[in-house]
Amino acid sequence: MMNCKEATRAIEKKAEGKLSFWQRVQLNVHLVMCKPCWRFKAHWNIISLFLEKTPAKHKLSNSDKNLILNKIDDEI
Amino acid sequence: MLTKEQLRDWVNEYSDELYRFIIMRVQDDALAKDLVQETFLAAFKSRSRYKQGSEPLAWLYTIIKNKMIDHYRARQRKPTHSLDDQPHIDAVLFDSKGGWKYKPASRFFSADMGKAERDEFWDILRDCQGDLPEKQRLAFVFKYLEGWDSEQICKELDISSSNYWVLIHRAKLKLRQCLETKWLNA
Repeated sequence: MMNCKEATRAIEKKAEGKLSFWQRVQLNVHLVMCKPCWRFKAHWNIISLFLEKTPAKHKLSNSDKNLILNKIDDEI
Repeated sequence: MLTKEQLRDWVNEYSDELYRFIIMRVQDDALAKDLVQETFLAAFKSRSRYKQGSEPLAWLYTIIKNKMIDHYRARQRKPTHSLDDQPHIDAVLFDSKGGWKYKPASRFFSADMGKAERDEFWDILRDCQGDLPEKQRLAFVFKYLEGWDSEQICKELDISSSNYWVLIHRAKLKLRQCLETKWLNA
């Protein structure tokens, strides 16, 4: 029987297609029975979804941009 | 060929996007700003390679990605940054039989969260990334932000594939735990 530490690692291997048929069966059985591991997987599905789109919130200030422009004037 | 005036326009138009890209990939804000600046200067230096009318941002991304990799490589050569000397997260989270000691909570970020909460997610993620040992952090960035495959990551970090699985596994355990803790306590 696969334990939780092994199961959380197997989730990643499965996502990359690196799990044998028998390991996939073991993982699926484990996930049906084990709520914490099921949650671990669900949480990572959400994280991965968020990671697909970087946020627009980070911005350079005008003074940062001016620093770059000044540098260009100095060096070019 | 790219002119100085054009380059100045590019700074106004594209520096935010480059900054946004790099700030999630390096830990230090001053460094992120330096890399953005260097990218524009490097673009001008190799301006003979820019084809008028082609997409400037794509070209600038290529340059800043190379700068980022150079930076990682330089850091990797310093042994203090590549040591994975914190207690291993697997020993913290799991007992000796591989069962959870600290189970994932039922409350977590959810897929239908609004903009404000997503922004919060990115702030916390940046924080949590900073807590990862260097190699774990890089494995995470290359895999999840750059979309590299495992062969590419092993090559870049000079690690075996079994090492790769250990790094990614630990990074995932630690990041999830950190996101949960910081979010629930926010």
